[in-house]
Formats: sequence, structure tokens, C-alpha cells
Amino acid sequence: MIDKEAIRRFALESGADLCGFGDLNRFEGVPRAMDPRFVFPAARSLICLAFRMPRGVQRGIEEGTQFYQYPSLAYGGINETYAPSILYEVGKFIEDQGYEAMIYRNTGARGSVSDMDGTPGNTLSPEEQIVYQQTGSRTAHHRTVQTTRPVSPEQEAPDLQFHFRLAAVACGLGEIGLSKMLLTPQFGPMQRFAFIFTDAPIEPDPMYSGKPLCLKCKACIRECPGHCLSDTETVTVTVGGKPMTWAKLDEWRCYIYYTYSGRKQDPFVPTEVFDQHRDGKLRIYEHPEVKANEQEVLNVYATLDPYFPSQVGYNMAKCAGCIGACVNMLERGGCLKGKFKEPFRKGLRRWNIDR
Amino acid sequence: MLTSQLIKEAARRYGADLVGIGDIRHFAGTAPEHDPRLILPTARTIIGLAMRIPRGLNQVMQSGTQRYAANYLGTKTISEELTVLLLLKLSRLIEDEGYEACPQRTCPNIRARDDDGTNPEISENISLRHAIPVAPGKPAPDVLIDFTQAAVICGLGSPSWRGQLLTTAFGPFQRLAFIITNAPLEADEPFTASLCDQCGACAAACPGQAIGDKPMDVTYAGQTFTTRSYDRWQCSVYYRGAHRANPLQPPDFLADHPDREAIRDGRYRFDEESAKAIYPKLNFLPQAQYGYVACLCGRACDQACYSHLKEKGLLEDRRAAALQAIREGVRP
Repeated sequence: MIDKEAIRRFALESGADLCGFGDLNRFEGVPRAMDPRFVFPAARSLICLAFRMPRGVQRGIEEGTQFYQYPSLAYGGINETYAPSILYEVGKFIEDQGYEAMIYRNTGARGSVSDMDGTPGNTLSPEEQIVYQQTGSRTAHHRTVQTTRPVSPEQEAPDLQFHFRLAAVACGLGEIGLSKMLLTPQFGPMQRFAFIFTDAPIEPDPMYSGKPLCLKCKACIRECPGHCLSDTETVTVTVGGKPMTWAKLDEWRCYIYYTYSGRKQDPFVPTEVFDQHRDGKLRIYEHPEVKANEQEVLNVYATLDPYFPSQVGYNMAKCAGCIGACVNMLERGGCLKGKFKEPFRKGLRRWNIDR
Repeated sequence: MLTSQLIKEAARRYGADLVGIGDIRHFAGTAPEHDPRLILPTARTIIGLAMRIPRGLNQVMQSGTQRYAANYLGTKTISEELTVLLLLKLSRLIEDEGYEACPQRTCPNIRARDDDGTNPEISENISLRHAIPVAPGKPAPDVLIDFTQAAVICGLGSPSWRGQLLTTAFGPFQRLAFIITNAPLEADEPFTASLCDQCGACAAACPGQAIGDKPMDVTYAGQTFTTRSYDRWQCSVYYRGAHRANPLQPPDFLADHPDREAIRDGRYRFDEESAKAIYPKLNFLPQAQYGYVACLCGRACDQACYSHLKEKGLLEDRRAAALQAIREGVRP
């Protein structure tokens, strides 16, 4: 029998910030195309590793003076370098005990269904990878898989994408907040995930059952510059028998605002550019009735390409509305275990550009 | 308790070759667009980290036998991977003690509002000249700290003729990263001596004549250093191999160009427009991931500098310390 606590200890010593063990049966009922049990059918256990984003990488965005370090270090840096280096070590640790360790990093969207709207087919995704031609911009984009089919009747089409945040819930690390972000008692919304599927039989950790992690304060909804989270509609899914509810997210709108966060929140785009295109390519920012979709994404990205679009390979995150708002409120509510000597935010709201 | 010694030991364990800690007050008078106190207003100290570029990578460039390895291992791997690991690990340690850690890696592909040059290492640079402040009293983003200034303040070294950092450990061969923090660490003294003795060997070695002789004084932490003009657009063309000695140039390189010989001799002067126009002719080796272009001048300036510093006995002999460290089972 593999020593579960030895794995956890090794993972944390190697550089993971949290390590949880999940029961794959907790995924009962998820759509087949997103069911992690199809990734490695012999798996008996799922291990989740969480890697904190240092709060300091959000500091420049919070102050409005520096935006580069967050996507570069806490997005690309963790997904591309830090997490894989630790996955590799923990995977070897498990292999050396005679079990399979299928290590699974954050992949960016390569699934058979859209991570924008869940539909099958060929749509853009905001994650890393480059699709320059379609967008007419230098910014990183990706398309969900072009053509894919199951290799056998009992399998699902490759590459199967499962829901990382719900998988972290299944491994007992936390709960989904109203913002649709996974919240942990240690870091709130500030972490990224990677997983290991193993055929080692491991007693799962219990689902998180402590004090509710989301305050339902709706700060994430209020502070999203794109109004991407609904104030009236919610989505509920069940993981391991535990319902998770979040505000309905307009993913296409989030896609647009994440990189180009609009007149009040994007200091890299001149006012005259917003003015010039207010009824055309940039109408999404000025007319709330315009529905966000792939074409609107293309319009925005092609038009705003000269204005700080990309940290090579990863899009620039310029909004950080939901995440900053959430950290602020969780700290004020005394909900985070990691206690900083100074608060993330001194006032209630962060800056808005007066224009 | 977080101490300077603990930070330095951990940084070395995580991959830094040199570590210094600077008092943030030494940035007084710095232009807001480059002042770390406007990234973290509660900052007290800045931690300077240097990772060496292995000397062998540069030696094979100098000898003309290998150019690819230096681009991947000496530039891309250190900047995009090893630095990331170092910064994230050290930031965790600082956070766990309750302090803010604002890691600062290089921003190789963006140019600040006041910078009309380029980074020769990167295929495409993005200018932030359109950026506006988010509120009165703040500089327009991104605030980009001057890495050489920060390294001097952390006591790591002094500027070279063209303004980059020289250290007694590795001469010009290191890459830098920093963490701005509000941790009240004991600071090192800024570096006050000048390792550059103004010999001009770097300028003489540049095949593109990108390093001038016009003096440009810079003052860091109250100490004035003399550097020289450095034309980054000119550098970028010869970094990519426009010079005659580039062994990858085909015989018909720029065959129809009226200034072919002047270009190959490094006599032609490039500006932003003409440099960008000639880049498509300079694709001699594939780029590394993240847009790092291959260095085909072999960093002749740095090689000349290193040789000069070594000849003058200005570089530390690290062998004794390394052997001692091996015996004690720690990093030197």
C-alpha cells in the first residue's frame, strides 16, 4: 500500500503549496466528454497539486503601475515551468513505488468541446497557443481541436479536458465561489492546479466541509469591468454529492475583457481608439446589448493589437477584477489562513480611469 | 523570522549564483516610470538575484563552432525557466512570513514609454508609448525597474561601458531578477567601485559598431558611473548576423543591396525603420520559444570585456570557494 502522507509530504517539500487526494467516483454524472475517468481508465486515485500565485504578482495591477509580471510569472510561469517541474518529481516518486503516475498539467483548451460554451466544434479559446491568421493579431489564441474522434467505442475523443476547478473540489481542497473560481482556505482564489492520475489505491481526502469559503458578497460581480458575471442567474453542479453554485459567467465576454479590459480599466489603449471604434469594431465596450461571441473577440483583438496584447505565449491579463475583489473581501473577512502583515487593498475599490 | 542570511541561503539553494539586498531608499530620485516604490508602495528592500551564463556557451560562440546552444540555454532557459523557478520559490518563502513579494523578471519584449530602442534578443518588441496613468500621481504602466541600477543598489556590481552589469564573479555573463518586498531585511551596501576601466574593448569588438564613445554619466545610489552611448537598433542587426564574419551567411546575402559591403563591414547605420526592414534577411537560425533570436555576433562585446577583466585580474577566482562548498555540502 502506498503511503499517502509520504506522497503529500514529498509534494509539499518539492514545491507544491497544497496536495489533496480525490475519489474518481466523485465525478459520477459529469458529461462524458469531460469525465476524467476516461483520461487514464486504470486510475484508481486522483491527486491534485495546487501552486499559489504570489499575492505580489497582483500588486502591480492593484496599483495600476505594472501588468507584466502576473501573466508571465503566475500564469505562464506556473503552468509552463513551475508546476511541470514538480509534477515530474512527484510522478517519479510514485513510479518508484511501483505504480503508474499519469501527470497532467494545465493544457489550455485542447478538448473536443469548447471551453467557451461547452459545445462541440472549432472555437477560439483564450488560453495559450497561437492562431494568428484567424485573428489578425499577434496575440496568443488557440482553437479547440479541429477534428477528433474516439479511438474505440468505449472511449471519449482525445484530448479529453476535464474541469480543473471541480477536480480540485473533488480532491478536497476547497469550494467554488460565486466568481466560478476555486477558493481555498489558504490562498482564496490565488492558485493554479495540476493533477496526477494513478493506479495506486489511495484513501481519498474528505470533501472540504469547513466554514463556507465564499462570502457571497458579490464583489466579484460588482468589480468585473465587463459585467461578465450575472447578478441574477446561477449555475449549480454537484461534485461528490456536494452542490457547487456560481454566478453564470459569460465566457466570451470574459475572454474580451481579460486582455483588453475596456475604457475604464485598460491604460494601454488611447481614448481616441475607443472613441473611433465605439460603434464598430469596439462596440462591445459601449453597447451593453451587443452579445459577445467569437466574431466580437476577433474584432477587438485585431483592432487593439498594437496596445500591449501579449506576453509572448500568454495573453496579458489587464482586468483582474474578480480575483482582486475576492482577495480583498476574503482578507477583510478574516477568511484566509495565510496572514499578511499588510492588507492587499487599503480602500474598498481599486482605481478606475477617469475617461 | 525572515533574515537576510536566510534569504540568501534559500536563493542560492533555489539556483541564484549571486544574491544581494538593497535598501529601497536608494531609489530616491529615480524617474517614476522606473521606480520600484510605485509597484509596491510599502517596499522596504529589494532582493537582487544573478544567475550565471555558463562560460562554455560563450566560448563556443567565440570560437565560431556553436551558436544555437547559447540562445537556448544561456538566454531562453535562464530567463524563462530557471528565473521563474527561483522567483516563485523565493516569493513563497517571503509570503509565508507575512510579507509581500513582488517578483520582477525581465520583460524582454516590451519597451517603456521613454525607451525608443529595442531589445536585440527578442524578435519583436511592443512599445508602451500609448499607455496613460490609471490615476493622477501615478506613472503610466508598466513601471519597469532599471536592472543595472537595482543590481548596483543590491551591491552586486557596477555598469559596463554600454551600461549592463559587471560583477567580479562573472564579468558580464549573468542574467538578473529581483524581488521587491516590504520585509525589513538588513541591506547590503551599494556597489561603489567601477569594474569597467573604460578600456573600450567591447566597442572595438562589436562587428556592428553599435557601441559609441560618447560619455553618458549615470548616478546610482549617489555614485556616478560613466557609460557610453549604445545603439540598440544597430546592435539588433548585427546580433542577428549582418556582419561579414557570420559563417551562416550565404554567398548571395544582400546581393542586390546597394549598401551590401557597408552593411557587412558594420559601417552602415541602422535606425528603427531600416533595422526592421532588414530583419527578414537575417533568419539564419530558428528562434527559440518566446521569440529569442539566435545571437550570431557571439556577444563579441561581452567576450572582449570578460577577457580584459580576467587579464587585469579583476575577476574572482571562485575555485577555492567552490571546493570548500563541496566539502561542506552547500552552494558557494
